[in-house]
Amino acid sequence: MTTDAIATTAGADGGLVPAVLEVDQLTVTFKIRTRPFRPKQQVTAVNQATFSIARGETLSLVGESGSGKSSTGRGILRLVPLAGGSVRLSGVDVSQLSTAELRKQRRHMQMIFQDPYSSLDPSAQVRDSIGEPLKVHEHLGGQQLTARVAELLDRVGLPAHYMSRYPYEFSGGQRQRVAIARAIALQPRLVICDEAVSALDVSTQNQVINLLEKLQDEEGLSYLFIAHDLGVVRHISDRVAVMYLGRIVEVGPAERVFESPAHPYTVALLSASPVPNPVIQRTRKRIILAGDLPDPSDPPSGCPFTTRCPEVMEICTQVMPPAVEVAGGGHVLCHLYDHVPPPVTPVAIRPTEQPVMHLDAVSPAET
Amino acid sequence: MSGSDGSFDREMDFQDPWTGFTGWGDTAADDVTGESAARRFVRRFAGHRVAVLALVLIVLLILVAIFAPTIAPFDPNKQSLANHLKGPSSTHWLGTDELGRDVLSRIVYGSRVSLTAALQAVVIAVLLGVPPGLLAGFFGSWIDVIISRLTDAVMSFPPLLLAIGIVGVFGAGLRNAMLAVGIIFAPRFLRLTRSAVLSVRQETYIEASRSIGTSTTRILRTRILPNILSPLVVQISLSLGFAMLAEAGLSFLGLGVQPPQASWGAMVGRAYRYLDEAPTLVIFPGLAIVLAVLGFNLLGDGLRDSFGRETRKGGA
Repeated sequence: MTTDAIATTAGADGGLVPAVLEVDQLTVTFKIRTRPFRPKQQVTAVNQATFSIARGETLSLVGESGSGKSSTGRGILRLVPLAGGSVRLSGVDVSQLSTAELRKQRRHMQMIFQDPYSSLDPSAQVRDSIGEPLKVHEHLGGQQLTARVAELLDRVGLPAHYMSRYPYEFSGGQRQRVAIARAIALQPRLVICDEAVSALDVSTQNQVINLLEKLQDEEGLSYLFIAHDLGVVRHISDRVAVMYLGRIVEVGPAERVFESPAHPYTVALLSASPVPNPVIQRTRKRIILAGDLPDPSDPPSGCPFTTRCPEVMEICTQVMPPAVEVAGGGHVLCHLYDHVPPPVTPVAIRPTEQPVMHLDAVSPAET
Repeated sequence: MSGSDGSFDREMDFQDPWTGFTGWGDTAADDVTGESAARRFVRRFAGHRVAVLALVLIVLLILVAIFAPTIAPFDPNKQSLANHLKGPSSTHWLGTDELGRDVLSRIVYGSRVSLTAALQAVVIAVLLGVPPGLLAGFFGSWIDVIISRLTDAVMSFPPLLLAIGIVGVFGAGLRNAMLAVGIIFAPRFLRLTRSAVLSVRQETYIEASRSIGTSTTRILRTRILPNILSPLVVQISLSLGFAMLAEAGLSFLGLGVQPPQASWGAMVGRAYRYLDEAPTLVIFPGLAIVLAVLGFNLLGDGLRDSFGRETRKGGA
């Protein structure tokens, strides 16, 4: 069904694989009143994000809270207005479509939301929730609809007679299965999983991830997997993109990013993820980043990570680093790898933006 | 859907269903949670004794109104001046009025007027209030501002003055009086709808519908409306009681039904002049009003309690 997939991109193996999704310079901004009686401030949630996802590929988007992961997902689906850039789905520029055309294209891109307790209409039977995309796009009804819903329930591992039930009668994992059935009802090309397993307990997470992988194998689905649990990300991803303050600072094959992270932020992020081995967990070095994410309405100049980066250089506060290829695949936006830095006259770092960071081992005795 | 093995399998979500998975079969869980929303509502409502009593009262009232010609012992408009202002007796159970008409028959026929008038007023109020409330709540911004300010204007107008004005323009009569009541009640429905929509439209399932490609009108119809229905039904029930009271009041003032037609309010209105000679003339239709209004209000309370959303079961 993706015969009109004309665009291609370099896949993880270097070969040319048709790209299902191409995101180019995607920018999402919000106007927020931070203090009462003051003019609204513009906050750039996503800043020129560029990446692509091949057919059957899973790209994970990781980063701390507020880094713009969810806004990227919502921007791609145009659930939030775009401030710039383009989103191409199988070659169709979604960002330029009219409202009516966009509604038709939505069948090719679906979303699974974080909280399965609020993403299903509590007053609607499961049949109506799963059947909604079929009613809207294929105008199904009656027995045809029932048959399709039964088939979908079966594919996500739920008995068909559950269709006459209401969401409150299900557990979290079952609800997420219903949400998945609804997302795959129209055989979409792209499914955005926005923290789709974060609200579930670990054993249920495992089942839902297995289900997602099974469906990917069967349908050739592409996933944009938004998550903060790096263990899950490592398991499910083909490639990983790391976001910090609205910027994608590193992209690469999952293996490479986890084994030899290039960006200092990726290094810190990985060191913050617990290792399921108590001995290693206690003795390994952890990098504790000082401070919080900077105010997104007033981002630092140059590289967004300058205020917390252990390797900060003078050039970092002045120039946004360009994308540099990394050995092993992908690219990184960091001056450490930028061997031909543009000539810049040295300027003193502003005192308020002194880099603060501790790079030391946490003593196990203290905990 | 009784469990074949009789075990209550709460843990089924934690087993890996892909290894040797053959389906859950019938589980006892079906018995525990397999209750439709309608049945849950009936169960909770049935536990509410006062509300059930109120429902019985209202059903009785509706039956009386439907079968008025069979129930009423006399023609409600037949005068008998020789028998005027008689107290309760074996022929005239509730006595006769100043023109010798049977009070019981007039109350029975009056129930028709009271019920249809209340229904008419509430239908008008719902039609005028709910659609703009939906739009104001869902779209917000300038649409909300315009609709809300218009509502404020209607609400700030003295209700009785509005009723007198409408009756003055369109002429006296029950239909016009109830149009006025409907207009007066509409802002309540509008505000209730608007605030309910405001909270529902924040829910993720609305965004989920939008991400599927569902049109706005369809979202309003299939996702918003069903989720704001329970406060609306409660408000309708309460408003029926108040509309009945308003009809009585307006008929008492001569703005509602015109003689010789009987309505409870009009009966009280005519009878108060003979209060010292025949106090029962006021008491019986007054009692009918009290019972009917009380019935609708208690029913509304019961509905509200029974509609409340079930607390979340299980945890994620």
